[in-house]
Amino acid sequence: MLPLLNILARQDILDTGTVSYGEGHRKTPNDCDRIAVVWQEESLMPWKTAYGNVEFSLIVTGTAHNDQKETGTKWLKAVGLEGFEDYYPSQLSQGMRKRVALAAALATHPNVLLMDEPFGALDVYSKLQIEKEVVRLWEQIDTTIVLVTHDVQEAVALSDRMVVLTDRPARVKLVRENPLPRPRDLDALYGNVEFHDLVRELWIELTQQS
Amino acid sequence: MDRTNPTELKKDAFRWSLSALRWGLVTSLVVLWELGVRFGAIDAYYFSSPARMAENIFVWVEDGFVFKHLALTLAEAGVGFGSGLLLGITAGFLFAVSPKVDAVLSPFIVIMNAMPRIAFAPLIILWFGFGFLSKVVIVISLVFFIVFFNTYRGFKEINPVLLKNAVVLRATRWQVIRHIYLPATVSWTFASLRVSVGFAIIAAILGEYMGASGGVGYLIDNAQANFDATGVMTGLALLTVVVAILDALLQRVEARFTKWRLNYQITENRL
Repeated sequence: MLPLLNILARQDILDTGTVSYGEGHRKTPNDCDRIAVVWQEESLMPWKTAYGNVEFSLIVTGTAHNDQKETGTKWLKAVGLEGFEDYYPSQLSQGMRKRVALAAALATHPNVLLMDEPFGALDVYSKLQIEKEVVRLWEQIDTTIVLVTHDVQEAVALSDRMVVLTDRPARVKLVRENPLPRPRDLDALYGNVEFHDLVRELWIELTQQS
Repeated sequence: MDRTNPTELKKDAFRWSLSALRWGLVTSLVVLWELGVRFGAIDAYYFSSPARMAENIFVWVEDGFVFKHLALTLAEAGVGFGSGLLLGITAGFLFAVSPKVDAVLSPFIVIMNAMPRIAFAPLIILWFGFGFLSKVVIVISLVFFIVFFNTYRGFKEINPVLLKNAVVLRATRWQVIRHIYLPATVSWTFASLRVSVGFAIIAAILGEYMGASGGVGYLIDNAQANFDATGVMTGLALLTVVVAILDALLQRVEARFTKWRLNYQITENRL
């Protein structure tokens, strides 16, 4: 995982500089900062069903026992997995497993959702489908999402603000507000001229690095 | 499962014909054996015969003493198995959790496992006597390593992302043990159970061969000393049946605990 994400996820400490949480008022995270991660790697427990995996997030983050069933089912439905609650990861496709991971992360009602190249391993079609899901959920939740990706189109399609990092050691090379209006329709977006201009702009930034 | 599904029906038919073939094979071997003895092609003095074995079993069961010996062997195997299981899981857990213990002791464990335990059996009998305890120790010496290595491996093979994710979500130590460590190892431990049950009984019998005053191994050894092939064969047949029953039971338990692994097949069938 990118050191930057590790720091945000409280798994690493800073050598210098500061991290600001909660609208920049606090320098350290506290218990109110609920952080969840959608990992690049497989992160489901193979011995738990789709529902069981979401339930684990709920148990760990202290959701009241009576609400677990409802919240868990609701989030599985939200990622398009209604009816798959009792399936084990080994019975689901890679794209569906990512959806479960997304549901498990969102079910904890995070302030910050870190996504570390979450859909990099998916085929183009599954990737587009789950991206559409993310775009839809994006409008419904009040979570700050930090998504790391090498896919420039994904970055442009799924963001309010884009940050280009340089090669190691990573430095911020460009911060660009995303002018594309929300809510977004990904099917229409891919034919949009403005979208492609933005993609080109970022590409040039990326390729000029070395 | 949908029974009217044509592929399901075909599979059922296949399963039936398979078990019919298997039983047919067993029956014809038994019949051939018996006929061979009747027509003088096989010497019953050395090879016994199904009829003699059946008669022998009848006598043993009618007399009831066979149950006493069987119970003794099963008790030795059972106590040894239980203790070996407990020790194996505990040690596997300790080694997995503490890198220090692992680093210092792991070569010794490997060496001890490489040592032929069977060659040690006479020494164990010398140390622990001819009674119950020595058999239990022999069983433990075999079961422990199987369970230990499987438990250890179960711990080591846990996907590190799961642990990282639990930490990010601020899971308590107990929650991590209960939801991640435990289920991850239980499936590995169960995978080793069927192997170790077989070993437990073999070890108990072995101990009884070396010196005992009861048990199925003692029965077989006694029969052998009297050149009684039928007695030896009957003892072996008895053990085979007992182990087969235990294995079938364990298979069920294992299937229940590792459902998530076996499920692969169900998806494939559905596609």
